[in-house]
Amino acid sequence: MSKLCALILTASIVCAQDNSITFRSDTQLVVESVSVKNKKGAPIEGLTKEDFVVNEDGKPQMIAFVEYQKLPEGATQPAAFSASAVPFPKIARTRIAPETPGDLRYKDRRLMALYFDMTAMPAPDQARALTAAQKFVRTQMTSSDLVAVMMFASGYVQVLQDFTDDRSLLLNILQTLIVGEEQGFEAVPDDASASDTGAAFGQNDGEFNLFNTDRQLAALQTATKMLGRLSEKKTLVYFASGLRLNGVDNHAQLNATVNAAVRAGVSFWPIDARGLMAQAPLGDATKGSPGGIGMYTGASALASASNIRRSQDTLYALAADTGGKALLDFNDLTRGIVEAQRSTSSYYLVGYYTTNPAFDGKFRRLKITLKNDIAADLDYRQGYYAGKVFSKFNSADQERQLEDALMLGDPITELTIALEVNYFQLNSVEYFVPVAVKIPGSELALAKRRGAERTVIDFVGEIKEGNATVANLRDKVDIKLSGEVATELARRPITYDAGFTLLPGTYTLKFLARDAVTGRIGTYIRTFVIPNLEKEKQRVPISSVVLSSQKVELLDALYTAGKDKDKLRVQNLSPLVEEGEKLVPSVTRVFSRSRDMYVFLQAYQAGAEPQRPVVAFVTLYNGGRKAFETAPVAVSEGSSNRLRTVPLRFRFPLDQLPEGEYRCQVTVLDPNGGRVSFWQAPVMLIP
Amino acid sequence: MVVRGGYGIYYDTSVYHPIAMQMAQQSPLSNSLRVQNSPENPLTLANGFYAPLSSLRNTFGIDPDFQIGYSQNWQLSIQNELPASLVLIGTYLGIKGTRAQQQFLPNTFPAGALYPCSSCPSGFTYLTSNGSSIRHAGQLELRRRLSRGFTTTLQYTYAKSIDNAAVGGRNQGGVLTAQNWLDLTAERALSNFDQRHLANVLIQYTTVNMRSFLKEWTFSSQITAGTGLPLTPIFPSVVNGTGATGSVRPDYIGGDVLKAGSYTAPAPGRWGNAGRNSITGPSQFSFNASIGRTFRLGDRFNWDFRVDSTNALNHPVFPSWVTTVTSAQFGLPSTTNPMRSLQTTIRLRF
Repeated sequence: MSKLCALILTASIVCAQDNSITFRSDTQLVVESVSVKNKKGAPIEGLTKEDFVVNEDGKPQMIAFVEYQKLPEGATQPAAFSASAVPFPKIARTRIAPETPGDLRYKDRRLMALYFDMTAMPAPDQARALTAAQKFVRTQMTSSDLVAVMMFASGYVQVLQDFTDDRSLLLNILQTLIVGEEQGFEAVPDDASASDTGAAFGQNDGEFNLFNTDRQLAALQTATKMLGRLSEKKTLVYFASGLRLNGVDNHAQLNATVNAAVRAGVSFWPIDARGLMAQAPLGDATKGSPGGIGMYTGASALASASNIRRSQDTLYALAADTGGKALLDFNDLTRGIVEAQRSTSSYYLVGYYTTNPAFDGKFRRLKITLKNDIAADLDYRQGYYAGKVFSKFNSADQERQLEDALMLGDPITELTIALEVNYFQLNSVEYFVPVAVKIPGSELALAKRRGAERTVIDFVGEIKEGNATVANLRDKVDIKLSGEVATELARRPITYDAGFTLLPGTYTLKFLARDAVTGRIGTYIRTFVIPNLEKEKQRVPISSVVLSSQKVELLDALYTAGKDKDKLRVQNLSPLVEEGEKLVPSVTRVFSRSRDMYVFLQAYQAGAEPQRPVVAFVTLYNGGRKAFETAPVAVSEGSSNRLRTVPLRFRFPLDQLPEGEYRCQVTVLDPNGGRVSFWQAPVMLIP
Repeated sequence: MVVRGGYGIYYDTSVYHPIAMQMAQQSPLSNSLRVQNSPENPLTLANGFYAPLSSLRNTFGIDPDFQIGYSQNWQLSIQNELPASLVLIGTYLGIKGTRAQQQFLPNTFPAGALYPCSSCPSGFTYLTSNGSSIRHAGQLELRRRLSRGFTTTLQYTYAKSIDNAAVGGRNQGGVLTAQNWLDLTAERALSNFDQRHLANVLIQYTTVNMRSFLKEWTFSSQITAGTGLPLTPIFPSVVNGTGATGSVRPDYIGGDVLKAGSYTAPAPGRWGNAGRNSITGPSQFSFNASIGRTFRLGDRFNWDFRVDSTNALNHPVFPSWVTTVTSAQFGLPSTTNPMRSLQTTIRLRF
């Protein structure tokens, strides 16, 4: 995918309004899910806010509400099954969508993350783990369950599917995972059970194991952190072929992982993907013979057995210390998932407004107890991280804010942003899709008022086809806020444009911009269709139509991202560029009468021999009445390639027309072929 | 309850390398000489390696039918989960070794006997692979699985191992030269590593939920106690026709095996009748402990601090007795295991 970016100050006028009223609230609602069970493990019902005591960092808190969340037990409704499961051509990486404080997205639901540690599972174990997960989703998943799929592979934790109750979606993901990839972290023993390699000096596998185990545990910690931003109780079903600590060296990381899980309210439910093992005393034929005297003294057999036990011990410890349970020595791995599912029974939601209003981003330790000597076991997230104000964000926080904003289903409108997507056919399959984003310059005035000399606008764009991300963009633009530029900014919007090369299809574009000084974010979501013009037989195949009120010299661009090579590609690829001048899409389609209007489109005559002339004209209608019409333009020379691309350009003044709303129609005729095409869009004329 | 059974055959590895090294030292690749200055054989600085052809000898030979040894291991274990994170495991392990390496001195004869074949070659060791071994072991293990930073393992093993050869590849089994090359079955006895009772305790605890400087310290300790390893009484004499010593055993005349008076020189004309590995060595004990902590410096750096102690109690432990019957120290400890040592490690991992 090619990406081309340029930022241009455009000359159209956007009303600046900065007399907005700000409501500020300094209270933070904290919601915690608390599971209350009696000594027999059955949930206790009927508690009210008088029964709970909440302490935050040792300070008692006033409880605002307590709500009982009843999850059905026993036989329940199976989850939805939308369609038959088909593997995806490619899995999109996604993220766990965060929730804003006080907002419980997954009420009355059980959250289960299936986490596959692919690095530590040999292929047969991977197959077993995936089959078990599929079986669970097919047969045991209920309508109360929300399941996410995560995987540790290639050195990082990937979220393959955020929490969902769509079983087909989950099955698609699980079927797409390829067994046999990504292993390589399996511990190679360096004791009496180690295979004899015959080498005089080998690598010290012990050191490698140390780092590998640390990395596996650290990955698990990363996963809990992702989940920790949801206040509900979460279970993480951890598939691995054992995890062996090396002496005492991995204990620090184990503690860190367990602490992170307890803090985040995540319980681990490890499943030993090896199932019930009964292997030959010194290992099977997948590894070499240990060879030495240890084979005869029993030392090798002992070391081999002890390694297996220790690898299970770590799984056991992860579970025992976080309130989960490990499934060891059992072939039906699905049982482990079902146990995890059943463990989350009904729970209470306890909400309070914290007495500590500071947005310092620090961890606040929580202690929730019951009054009135009610004997019960309480299970809850042991604390939460207070919010942060943007100015206190470090780079990781900033990056996360962008990711979170991109994940949110609802748009964010702190920053006004508008967007226009066009398409032009490049060849028989590919289309060039220029995206123009417009932000009123007045939006940056706030940053200026805070005394910033310059600001950076972060742009994140993502184009998805269905579930899969097909292209994305990450860019930042540095804008000077002082001097001449600043005066310009107050009156004019900023246009940022980028280009992608896509195939025909239906896409969703999500674009996000953030002003780095104030931290304000604007998002824009838009679904667009790129038609397959090769199949257009009825009408004249045309590109989308670009309406513009401005042409700028490429060199005049305030900012051009990328290197000179990219600039060249802009000129080569973008049909909007002609003779060093670039047509700036209007985006808002509001035109000033004082300026000319530019209309640009392309018509295609794929394979036409010889080239036939194309006639086109632009008409403006005002309330169904023709207000203006350009003279027909006949173009008979197209590009020399197979597409025979015919560019159609119009430029006409608007000063003769009164202000108001119009409908702009472009008509393209192919007189010889007997075909015609129309394109319409509303436009607005202002003084 | 989980019951597991398993069986496997495993071959010795890296057996050829030491053999190749030995063969490289034999004629015609190299000459081994034993020279002495004498009027018949004057040695000079110019030629210090002059020897009559007859004294050129080989020191090592190998059976052309030599084959690699292997062990058959079979195991049955029963595992039962108990409350409080405990697991009880009972294991039986059987090991049968086949084609173990046997080494002997061909054409040698006991002191006082007639040379059976004066024209036959002698003075070299000969390696064959006709030995065997058998070991049975029962083990009981109580294990507290790791949780809340605490784990411990208690192991008791009762085992017996018998062989007539040096077992194990990678040259780890060492060399066992038979006393009587015509009666290799006389070497059948307890294995060198045979330890009847062995108890092992492993404790590891990491402090959790403690205040800042006390938290995340890991203490671990390993205690091993077991009965002694078998030792062979040795009669120091050169085997006739060779320069080899150490393979001749005395005659046992009854009484305490650890008293020199229970042995005499072998009767003339035959080999000593004391059995190989017929003395049980001193009981074994070891106690090692360590304490350490990993300080986490951000996500990438770990700073380990650790103190390891070997023989933490500074308890004297003797690995073996003196078993040379003519020695005044017979039956007394030969050496002791090292005294207590502390090792401090500071390590930055990234």
